[in-house]
Amino acid sequence: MRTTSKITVAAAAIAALALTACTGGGATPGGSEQPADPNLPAGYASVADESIESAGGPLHVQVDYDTAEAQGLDPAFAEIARSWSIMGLVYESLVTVGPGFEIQPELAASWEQPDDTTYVFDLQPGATFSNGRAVSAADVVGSLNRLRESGSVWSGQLGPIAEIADTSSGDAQQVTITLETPFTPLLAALANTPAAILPMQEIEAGELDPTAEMLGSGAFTVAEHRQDESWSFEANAEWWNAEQLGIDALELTIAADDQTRLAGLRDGSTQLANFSNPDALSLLAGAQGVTAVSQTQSDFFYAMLNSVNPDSPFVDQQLRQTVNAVLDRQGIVDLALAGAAVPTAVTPANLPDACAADSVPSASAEPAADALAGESISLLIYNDDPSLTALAQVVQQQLQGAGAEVTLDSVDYGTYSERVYVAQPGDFQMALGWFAGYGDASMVTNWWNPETAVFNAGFAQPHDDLSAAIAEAQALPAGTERAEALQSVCDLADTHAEMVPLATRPQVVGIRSDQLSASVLSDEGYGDFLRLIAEFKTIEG
Amino acid sequence: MTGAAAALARTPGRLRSLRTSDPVLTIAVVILGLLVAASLAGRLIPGLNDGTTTVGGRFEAPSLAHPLGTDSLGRSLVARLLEGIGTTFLLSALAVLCTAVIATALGIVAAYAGGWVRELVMRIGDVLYAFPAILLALLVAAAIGPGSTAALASIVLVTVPLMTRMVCAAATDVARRDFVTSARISGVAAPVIMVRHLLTCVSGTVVVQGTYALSVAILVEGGLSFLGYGVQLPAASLGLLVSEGNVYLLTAPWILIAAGTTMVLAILAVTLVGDALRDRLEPREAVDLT
Repeated sequence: MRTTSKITVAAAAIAALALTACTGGGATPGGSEQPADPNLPAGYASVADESIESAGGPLHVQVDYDTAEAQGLDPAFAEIARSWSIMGLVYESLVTVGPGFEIQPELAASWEQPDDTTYVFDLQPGATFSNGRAVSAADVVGSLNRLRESGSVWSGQLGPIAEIADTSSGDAQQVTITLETPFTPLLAALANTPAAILPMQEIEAGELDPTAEMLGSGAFTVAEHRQDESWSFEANAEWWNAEQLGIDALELTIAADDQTRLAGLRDGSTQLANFSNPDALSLLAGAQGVTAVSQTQSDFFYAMLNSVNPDSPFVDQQLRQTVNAVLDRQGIVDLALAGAAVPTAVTPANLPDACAADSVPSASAEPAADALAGESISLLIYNDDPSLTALAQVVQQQLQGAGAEVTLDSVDYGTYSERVYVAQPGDFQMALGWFAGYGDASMVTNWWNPETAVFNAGFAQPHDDLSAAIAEAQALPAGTERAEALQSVCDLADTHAEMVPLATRPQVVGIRSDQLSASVLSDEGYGDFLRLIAEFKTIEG
Repeated sequence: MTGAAAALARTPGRLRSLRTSDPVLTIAVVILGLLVAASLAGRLIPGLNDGTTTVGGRFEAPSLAHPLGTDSLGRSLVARLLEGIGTTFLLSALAVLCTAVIATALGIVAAYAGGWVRELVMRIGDVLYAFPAILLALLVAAAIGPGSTAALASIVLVTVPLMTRMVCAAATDVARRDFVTSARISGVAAPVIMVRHLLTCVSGTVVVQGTYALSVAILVEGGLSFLGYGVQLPAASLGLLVSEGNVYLLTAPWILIAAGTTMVLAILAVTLVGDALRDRLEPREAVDLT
């Protein structure tokens, strides 16, 4: 043989790569169950060590995706979880979410609820925007009214607000929100980044374009942003709680590939990273100096069955109900989500007053083994979420097991959004996606009313009975009566079967624990694993 | 056909001269045969032909029940691998066939016409050749969307320039021969000359370059699918399996080992067979025309 081909060299390189796989240590595959640490306080997956004197310096974090460029940087229009968590570093809302989804003060130092329809918020004394101007009640009133009038998706979560008024007296800044009727999830709605308080004086004066620039009262200011690549943040010296902050800067890198984030944690170039792949827990188990924790999220996966597009077979309610009954949610959890999630109904399974996944009508239905024989279904997903891809393959198997022929249509997220949320009617038959579950069981039910949600009008129809049940449940205080009302919501949504809940969406947070002592909540409903970043402490050396 | 042309065109005869006593070549042919047989088995034999169905727990290590273990969705890696071999080979072979047709036509026309036609074809080829293969493949995949079609188009675009250049060079040599000139003077139509004289004389080059292109095709398919632009789940290809195995490299190494080793063997076998063919079929080195 006279020639030595480059191909041969390339082949040898692949062989070497394959062989190095034998040399790595690691944890038991698939074993993502993580026992709760009895030393941790309730509601925490990890707690920063208060005895550590933070070494300061920059914190290096890698996340899976960036804010949505098309929606700009205006928090009122932020629709995706990563926009909320990243913008939440700069902006503050009146309240935030603590352990066990408890609503806690943020920009509001305290609040009172003198009656069912009135909320009175007293603002943090000394709260200022990063330009040095004090946050006023007028900023709060202006920001929330701006959100209400924006027509953004989140404006639908604020409920029947009658008035937002500046009730300040003297130096004390106070805002009063009056509702037309009781609305229990109001505080949980105010806790999310779209309800952030903006510098309205500067915006109204035309000095600040909030879609292009961020100026908030939060812990950080933006030094640089390169879309889908990186963010550089600096500590906001004007933050009212600046003394607590243990880091001087935050370098946030967008690394879409799981392997990149895993490698960053393993080699110590990254101190914190998130993963939607539940196997990250076991993949990081053997990594030296790395602690991986699982966050139980109220976020959940669901299937959309297009009842609006006349070309979709799912205009037939009976077929939708059959598909709903055929889907084995526990099977999805066990296979696609590594057992790290739970089946859920419309109300996120891990929130108070939620209905159980096995309590809805479809759970007791017994479809025939060939219930979907002869049906041909196209299942649309986007291809940059490994959990969604895994879930789609299991759903495909289950539907094929009932006789259907199912083809997977995997596209980029832009195409997916266009076909699912923008096209009227939606350009798909069946699609998979996920919702943030938020901090109150009744909040996400809003998305089952297309007149409130708007984004699902292309594939779901309004139903008076379901919409009335949602409104009734949201008006009731937390407790048994509301749980019963939410059960009605779950049953009706299950019967209409246009958006079919499947299972909660797990998240793993990897921490380089020899470089960082971090606090992470064990429950999260807004995708914000950086929620407690102010408590983080970097470790010397 | 003149005697010289006949000598140049005696490819089948030279093919028969391949020495089966060459142990390396024998091993390569056997490996290639086994892989093709395995891919056929993966399509035809019940139990081996469903790589999309869960048959066990997640990440079960290799055992008697599942000789190569299971993947992240509890699917048999044997079935996935057989499907993957079939997908990769079929896609690559189809792409190389397209490449051979396009490159041969372009190369022969350029060689026969000469002048600005030859320059145009060669310069376009140079431009395409200047791009790194995987970058060119990614551009194509990004333009037409991820999937098998993207992989096929990418492979064709990556492999066409080199094969066109080689075919053109071989055909140019032949086009300058007296028997071609005689045919032209005699008034034989250009298409007839190109098919009857040039095509038959460059067939050896096409075969050799085809095997080289097949190796590149397997690599490009692997690269594209690894990056998520090629074959899409739940289908399997060697690149997709390497991609999945890469994620679970530390916890389920059998996925990467099985897929990676198979890809290595496939590329090595194809390359070795190609080298052997080149040794026998390269006219300038293997045929004495004096």
